[in-house]
Amino acid sequence: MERSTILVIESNPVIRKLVRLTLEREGLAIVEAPDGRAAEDLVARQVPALILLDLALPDTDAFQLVASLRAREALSEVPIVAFSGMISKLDEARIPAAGFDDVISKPVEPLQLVQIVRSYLSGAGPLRMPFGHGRSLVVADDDPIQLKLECVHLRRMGFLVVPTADGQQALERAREDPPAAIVADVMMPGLDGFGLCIAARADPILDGVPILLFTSSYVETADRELALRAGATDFVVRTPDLSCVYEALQRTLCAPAPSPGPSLPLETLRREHGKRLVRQLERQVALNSGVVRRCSTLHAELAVLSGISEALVRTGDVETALDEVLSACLDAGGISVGVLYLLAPDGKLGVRGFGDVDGWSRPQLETFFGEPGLLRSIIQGGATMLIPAAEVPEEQAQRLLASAGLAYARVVPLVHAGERLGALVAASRDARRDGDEREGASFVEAVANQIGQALALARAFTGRSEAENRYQTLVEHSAAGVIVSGLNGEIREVNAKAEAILGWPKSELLGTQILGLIERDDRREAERLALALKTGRQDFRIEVHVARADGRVIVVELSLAVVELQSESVVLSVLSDVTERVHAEEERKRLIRQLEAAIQQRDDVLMIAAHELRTPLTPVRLQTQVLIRAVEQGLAEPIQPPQLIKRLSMIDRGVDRLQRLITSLLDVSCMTAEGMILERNQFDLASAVREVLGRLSHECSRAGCSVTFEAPAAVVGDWDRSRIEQVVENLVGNSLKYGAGKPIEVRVGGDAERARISVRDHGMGIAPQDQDRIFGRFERLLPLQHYGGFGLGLWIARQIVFQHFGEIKVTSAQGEGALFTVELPRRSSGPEVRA
Amino acid sequence: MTAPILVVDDDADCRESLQLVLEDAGYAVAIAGDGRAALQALESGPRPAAILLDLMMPGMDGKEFLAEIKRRPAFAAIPVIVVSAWGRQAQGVEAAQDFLEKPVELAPLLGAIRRHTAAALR
Repeated sequence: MERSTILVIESNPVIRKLVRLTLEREGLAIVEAPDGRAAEDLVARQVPALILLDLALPDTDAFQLVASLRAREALSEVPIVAFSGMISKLDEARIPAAGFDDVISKPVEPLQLVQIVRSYLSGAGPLRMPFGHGRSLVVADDDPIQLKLECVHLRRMGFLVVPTADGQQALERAREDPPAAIVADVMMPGLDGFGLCIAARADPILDGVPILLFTSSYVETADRELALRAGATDFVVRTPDLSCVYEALQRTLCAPAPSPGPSLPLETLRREHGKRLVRQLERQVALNSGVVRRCSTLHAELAVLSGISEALVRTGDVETALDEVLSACLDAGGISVGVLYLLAPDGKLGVRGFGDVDGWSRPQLETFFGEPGLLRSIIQGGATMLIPAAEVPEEQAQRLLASAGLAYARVVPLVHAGERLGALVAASRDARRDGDEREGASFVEAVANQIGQALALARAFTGRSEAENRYQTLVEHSAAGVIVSGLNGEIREVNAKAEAILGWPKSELLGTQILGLIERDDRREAERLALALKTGRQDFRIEVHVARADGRVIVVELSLAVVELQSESVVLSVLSDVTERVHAEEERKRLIRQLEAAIQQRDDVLMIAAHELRTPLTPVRLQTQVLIRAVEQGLAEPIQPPQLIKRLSMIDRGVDRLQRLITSLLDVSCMTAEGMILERNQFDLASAVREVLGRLSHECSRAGCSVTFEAPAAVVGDWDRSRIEQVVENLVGNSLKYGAGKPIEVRVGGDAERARISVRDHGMGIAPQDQDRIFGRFERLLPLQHYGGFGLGLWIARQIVFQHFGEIKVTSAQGEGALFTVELPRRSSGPEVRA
Repeated sequence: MTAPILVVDDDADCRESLQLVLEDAGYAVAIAGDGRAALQALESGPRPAAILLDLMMPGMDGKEFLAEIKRRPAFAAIPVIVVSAWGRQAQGVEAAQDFLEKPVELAPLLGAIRRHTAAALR
């Protein structure tokens, strides 16, 4: 803290800001403390040159705080100025005793603030040349604040100062140790300045001590004459900066003139003294009534500013503040109707009415009762106008007053620093009383002046924070989530939408790391991005997974940009929940992949189908053409009936194979498209399987496989017979295909609940990793080799078994054949049962 | 006894059917169910005048068989007529003398055999 640093302890941030702006403009350094604790912390570190202290602090009683500050050795001599809005009489009395050096009342007039602060900072003013040289002074003043101030200044000039509160005390202290001079106020209780002079001149010890009287009350020539006759060395009228006192002291001490002895008899002096006292009493009484009135005006003015500044803090809205405060003020000022016109930056006039305005329509108010031009010209003129007035054409004035139903209207332009802000119109429906006019005028003008100041002040604040507000508004109302974080990733601001997206309340998000929101898998990407932002890349867009407070993981699209905010670089992240979109996209990709696979499969199927259908067509066509040729050649070489049968059955078998291939193709497309509909009936599984084997006997013998069948008893159940037969055909067909001509064993069995069919071959077997795949569609283990068929048989078999709520499985090892087992519940238990 | 035609096909119906029509046309016919059996027939039996070769077969398939005999000087000159359901899509059979698509027709089949056996005799 620099030597000239000023500590401002003030709870109201607006006042703090105002004080800071005012004093910084003067080149002074400010530190701020919003409460007592912060103040204690600050002074513990460094000693300020001056302390401005708010009397109403949130955490501490200001008087206790002063005591505590004064108790610190380093602060015992530091000026402490109370900084107060409303001071109760009680507090006012406590102020000097508590250790304050001065009081500044709020709202603060910047010029006054600067003067006071300057006067307390050392080295202010050329007069303060130290010429005391250690000489002692007895100082008498009944006003403790003034006394304190006088002591401060006189000590600074090198005097040893003995402060006293009245003439009697001054006399006593002076007798104890005669000073170089006595400096005394005139008006004091008990022994006043005149009395002090008379007593001192009568005292042999003090007879030669110069007495300097100063006063702000006894300003008449007779007073001065009396003082000098009473024995005062000098008599000066007090100036606010006390320069009169120093000058007089300098005169008295540097060129000491012999004190004139009392030039009048004591009796005469006493009589004269009495007259001056009575005269002074009358003056004070007269002054008092004026002071009381001025006080109430000041009070009202004060209320405008302090009310507005408080409302500003509370709402940030000047107009609301004006509404609240003005109605109270005008009421206090005895004004029945008040209308406030505010000029917007675009030149439009906004209007607000207070008090008894209900009788008027909005347009009436807005047009200033049909005379908007008049209002504008008064505002431009900048001088108060009392309508009716000489400057206003009488016809226009009468029209206005008649339209408004008013007796008079006082229009006070609101002007601040040359800027036209609007006008305050105070009016009355009753004919005014002339006696009140001057008071009324000054009151309204004072209030208007305060409004002007408040508006300018408010505009300064709002102007300053305009950019901030715009940004806040943008952020808060953005349809997208917005997070503002530092370059270090710490979250500083979160808007409502971001809260909603993330599911975390703002309070939990602030201060945490933005990277912390991102799921671990995506974090590397996010870190890369954070680094890039730090090193100057401007904007980014990423999609990351974020865990919400409720545990749901969502996909968030983050657009990040580094922006300058209040002259600092921050990362602005705009986020939107793209979970649905990403899921839809993933779903779409999955569907496309599925579709591509399906198309690929279809192409494969078409190719396999072409191949598989062509193979059985070969004997059909060859034999047909042989027979045609035989008939064409006119039976020259007639084909014998056994040969004919052989060829015809070859054709028949080919057609049969074609038919079965086509059926299985249709099955696949049916099962895939609409599922399978079972036609359940009670039948014996053993006899059904036996029948199928009978039908396949020809194929079995052609494959060179012997087939054995075992069924201990009838196994009756409720199944779709033709579908179950298809399963058996496919399983046996599969075994014939891959059974390498070795025996095949078929068994039917089961228990009360389930029926079982097993088909075992001794062919090449199926490797474990392939055992699931063989049940897939168009899955053949040996795609490049030829085993006939589409590879659909097992898939179809499995669909049928599943539809019956059964199970199909294979146990096998490569080279050791395969055992296919089908288990079927004997009673249907699914919902798709059909009678 | 003329040199036989070797029919190599895993599909019994196709095999039998080809055998019948070739015998009708006066050829001697030898048969094999896959490439390996055909190779054995070549090694142990009479040298065929031509080979009718299916491609998709279990065990040793048509392409492997074709490559094998073309590698062996003893068999490389035997004309091979590929008879396949794969149509024109079949690849890797450039070493074959001719190509017929299933379902094969009688006249082109007999024509091809006649052509290639005649060429082999010259």
